[in-house]
Amino acid sequence: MWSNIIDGLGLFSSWQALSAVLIAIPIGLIFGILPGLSGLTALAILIPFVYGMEPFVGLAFLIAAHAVTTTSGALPSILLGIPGTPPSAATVIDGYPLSKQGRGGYASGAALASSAIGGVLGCIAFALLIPILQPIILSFGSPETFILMLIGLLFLASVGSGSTWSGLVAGMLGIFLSFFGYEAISGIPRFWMGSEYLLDGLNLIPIALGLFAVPEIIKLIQNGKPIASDSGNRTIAFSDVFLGMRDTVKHWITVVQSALIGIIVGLVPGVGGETAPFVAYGAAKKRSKAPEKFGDGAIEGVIAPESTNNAKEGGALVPTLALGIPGSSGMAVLLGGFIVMGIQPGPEFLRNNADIGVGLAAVLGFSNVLGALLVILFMPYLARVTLIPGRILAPILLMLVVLGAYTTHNSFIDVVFTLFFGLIAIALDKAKLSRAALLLGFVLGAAVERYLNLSLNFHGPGFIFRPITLSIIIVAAVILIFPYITKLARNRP
Amino acid sequence: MLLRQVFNNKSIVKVTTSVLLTSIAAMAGADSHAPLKGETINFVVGYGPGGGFDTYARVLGPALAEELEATIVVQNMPGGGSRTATNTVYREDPDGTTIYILNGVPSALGQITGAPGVTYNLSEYTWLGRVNAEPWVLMVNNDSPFHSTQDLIDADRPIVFSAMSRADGPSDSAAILCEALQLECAIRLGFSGSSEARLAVYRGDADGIILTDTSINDSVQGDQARAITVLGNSSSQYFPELEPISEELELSEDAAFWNDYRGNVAEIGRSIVAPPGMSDELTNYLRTALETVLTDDEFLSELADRGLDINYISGSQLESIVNSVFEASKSGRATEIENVLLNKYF
Amino acid sequence: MKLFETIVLGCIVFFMGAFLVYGLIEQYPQQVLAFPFTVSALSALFALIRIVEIKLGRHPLQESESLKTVNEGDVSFINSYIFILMILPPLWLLGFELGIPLYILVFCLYFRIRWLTSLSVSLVSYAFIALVFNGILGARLPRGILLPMFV
Repeated sequence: MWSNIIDGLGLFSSWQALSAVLIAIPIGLIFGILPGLSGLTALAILIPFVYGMEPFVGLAFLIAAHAVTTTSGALPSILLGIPGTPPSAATVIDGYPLSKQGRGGYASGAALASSAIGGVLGCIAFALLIPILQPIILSFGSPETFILMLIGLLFLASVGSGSTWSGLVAGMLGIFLSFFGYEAISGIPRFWMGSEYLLDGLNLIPIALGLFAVPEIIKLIQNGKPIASDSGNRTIAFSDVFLGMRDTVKHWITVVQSALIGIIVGLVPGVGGETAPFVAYGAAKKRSKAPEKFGDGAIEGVIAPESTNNAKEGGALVPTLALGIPGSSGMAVLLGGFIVMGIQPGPEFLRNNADIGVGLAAVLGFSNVLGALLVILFMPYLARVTLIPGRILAPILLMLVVLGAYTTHNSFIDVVFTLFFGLIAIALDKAKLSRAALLLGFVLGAAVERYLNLSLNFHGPGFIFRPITLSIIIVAAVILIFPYITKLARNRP
Repeated sequence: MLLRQVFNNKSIVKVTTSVLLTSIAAMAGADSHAPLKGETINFVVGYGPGGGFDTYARVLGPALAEELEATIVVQNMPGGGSRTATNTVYREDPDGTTIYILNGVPSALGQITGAPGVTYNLSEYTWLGRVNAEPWVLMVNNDSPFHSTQDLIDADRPIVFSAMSRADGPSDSAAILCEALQLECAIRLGFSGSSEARLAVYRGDADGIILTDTSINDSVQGDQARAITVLGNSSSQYFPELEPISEELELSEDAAFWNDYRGNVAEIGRSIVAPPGMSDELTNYLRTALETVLTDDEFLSELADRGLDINYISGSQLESIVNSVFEASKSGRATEIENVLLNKYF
Repeated sequence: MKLFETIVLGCIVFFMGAFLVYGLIEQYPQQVLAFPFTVSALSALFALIRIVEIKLGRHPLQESESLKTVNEGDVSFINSYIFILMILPPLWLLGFELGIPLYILVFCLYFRIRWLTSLSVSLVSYAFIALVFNGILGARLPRGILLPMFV
C-alpha cells in the first residue's frame, strides 16, 4: 500500500513526467479558453504526440491537458457570456451578470479557486476509490443511471430564474431536440427528413454556442460598448481576484457539495459530463438562503458549476482505469490514448500497476492547482478583453464561434445551425424562457429515454425497487423537500 | 521541437520527413507510370480523430503517398456510424483523388437490411484491398455457467446477449449464432456503445456479447470475462485454443450457410475502396501500390510494434467476397435473412 | 411582451406537434414515438399553465438570465443579426483563412473603427487562423469555392 503511494509519487516527480505536465497545462488552458474547442478536442489532437513516450509520461501529458480545459473554460463564460467548453455553460448564468457589474475579476477568482479545490477533491476521491473501484461501478446498472438522470431533469425547473413553468417548457424543448436522429433500439432515425446531417441528431456544440454566444455578439454590435461598460472602465485588479477566492473558501459547503455531485456523475459511465454542473447549480440554489439572487450574479452560482466541472474528471477516471469503460466522452478518447501506448486498463491493470494509478491522481491534483494559479497570474491581462469596444470584439468573437463550430465535426452545416440557434436564443430570452434549461434538457433527453428502455428491457418495471435505485430516490427526495421543511420550521415561532 | 527534444519522439520526425519528401516528389511533374504523381489524394475516414480507423489511415497514408508519389491528406468525415462517409464517397469522382477506409461489417449490414439513410451500393464500389479483418468472438462473464459452445446448445434457458442496436455487429452476429445453432436467445438492445454493452456482461445482466477478437481480447486480458466461441471459418490469433465453430461442431447445411454468411461479412473487415466506376488501369495501379505497401515486411513490423495488425487480401479477392455476400442476400433467402437479422431474436 | 411570450410558447408546442405528425406519417413504430409524444404532451400542459399565469398577471419580477439590453443601442436587432449572417458568404466563397479576415476588416471599417486598428485586427485574425488552426491543430479548413476556380 505505502510502497505503491511512494512509487506513484516517484513516477510523478520524474523530470520527464513533470515536464510533460508543464507543457500540457498551457496547451489545455488555451483549448479551454477558445469557445467550441473542448477537452475532447484537445485529447483527440494531442494523442498522436504521445506515440513513443513512456506510458506514464504520455498519460500524464494527456490527463494534465484535459483536466485544465474546464478551469480556463470558465473565463469566457464569465467575461464574455460565451461558454469556453460546453460544461462551462452553467457558469454563464451567474458569472456573466457579475462581469457586467464590473465584478469579473471577483467571479473569475471564485471560479478558479473552486476549480482548483474541486479538482483536488476529485483526485482525492479517485485515489481513495482505487481499492474499491470495481464493486462500486458494477453496482451502477441502467436503472441507477436512469434514476440519476431523472433527478438531473428535476433540476430543469430551478435552473432558470423566471417562472417554473417556463423553465419546464424550455427544458422540454431541449429534450425534444435531443430525439432527432437514430433511436437507440430500433435504429430508426427520428425526424431526419432525408437529411444526412440529422441522422446522428443535432450536435451539442452548435447548440451551446448558438444559444450563448450569438446573442452576446448581437448585443455587442447593437450598442458598440465594451462588455464592462455598466460599471465604468475599471481594470481588474488582483485584489478582486483574491476577494473571489476568499468568498469561495467562505462557501466551502457549496464547493464540497458540488464536487461530490461531480464525482458521482463522473463515476457512472454514460451520464454526460455536461449534466453535472447544472445539477450542482440547481442544488446550490436549493441550498441557498437567497435563491432569488441566482441568475443576477450570485457567487454560489459560479462556484458550484466550476467545482463540479473539475471534480468530475477525477470521478470519470475511475471507471476508465478500473474497467476500461470511459466515464465521460473525453475519457473515451483518453482510453484510445491508453491503447496507443499499449496499456489495457482494467482491474488486472490496477492490481499490477497501482503506482500508475496513484501517480495519475497526483498529476490530476497538481495540474488542477497549477492550472488555476497560472490563469490567476494572467487574469488582470485576460480580463482587459471586457474593455475592448463592442464593435471590434464582436467580429473577433464571431470568428472564434465559427471556427469552433466548424472544427468539431468539420461541418459547414454546424456553422449555419449555430447562427440559427442564435436566433432561437433571442426569441427564447425575450419570452423569458431559460436557455440553460434548454441545454440541460438537450444533454439529458435522449439518455433518459435510453436508460429507461434498457432498465425495462433487462429488469422489467420492478427495477425501481432495486436497493441502490431506491436509496438514490430517497436521498433525492430528502434533498428536494428539505429546504421546504426548514422554511416551515423557521416560519414557526 | 521542444516536444521532440524532451521525449525523443521519433514518429513525428518520420511523418514530417515523409510529407516533405512526397511534396518534393510532387513538384517533379506528371508521369504516365505514376498517374497520381503530384496529386493531392483525400483519404477519407468515416469516424472522428483518435479511433481505430483514423489510426490506420494516418499510419498508412504517408506510406501510400510515398508509393504513389502523391500527397495524401486524411479527412475525417464522422456521422451516422460511418454511413455519411460511405454515402459521400460513393458519389465522388473515381479519378483516384479520393480513397476511403471502409468499415465492412456495418456498411454491408446497413445495405442488406435496407437501413434508412443508406444510398450506397457496396457491390459497385472499387475495391482496392483489405487492411485487416477480425473474427468475431463470443465472451461470457467469468461466473457464467457456459464454458463452451456445446454448453450454449445444452442450455435450458434463453441466453441473453447485450448489444447496441439492430445490425450493429454484436446484435446480428448474436442473431446468426442463435439461428445457426438453433439456440433459444434474447438479444437486449439499447446500449450507447460497445463498452457499455460489455459492462452489462461484467455485471451479469447479460450472458454474453459478440465483438471482434481484438476487443474481446482486451476484456479477457483484463480478467473480466472469458472467450468461448469463435464465429465464422477462421480462427483468432488471440485465442488459438478455440476452434472456429465450423471446425468445432458438425454443422448442418443450414447452420453452415448462416455461419459462412456472417463469416463473409466479417471478411470485408477494414478495406480501402475508391468510388465506383474507376478505370481498370487506375484500379490496377492503385491495387498494386496498396499491395506493395501492405506486404512490405519492414512496414508491417513497424505497425505490429504499435499493435496494428495487417491481414492483407487483394482487391479482386475482396470483390468476390463482397459479391458472394450480396448474392446470398439476393437469393431466395433474402426475407429469411432480414427476419433473422432484425426481428426473430429481439 | 406578454403577447410575445404567448406566441413563443405556442410556437414551441406547434413545432413539437408538427414533428409528431411527421412521425405518424412516416409510420414510426409506437416505441419510437412514445417519448416524443410524452414530452410534447407535457410541454403543451406546461405552456398552458404558463399562459394562464400570464393572463392572471403573475409575472416573475426578474428578467431571465442576462440579456437585459436587447433593445438598447443604435443598431437594430434585425440589422445586427444580418451583420452576423453576412459572415456566411465570404466563408463559402473564400474559405475560412481568407474569408474571416476580410469579413473582420469590412465589418470594422463599416463601423468607423480607425482603419489602422481595423487592418491590424484583421491581420491578427489571419495569423491566428493560419498559426493555431491550420498550423498547430492541423484543422483542414475549407478553401472556399472561388479560389480553386482561378488557381
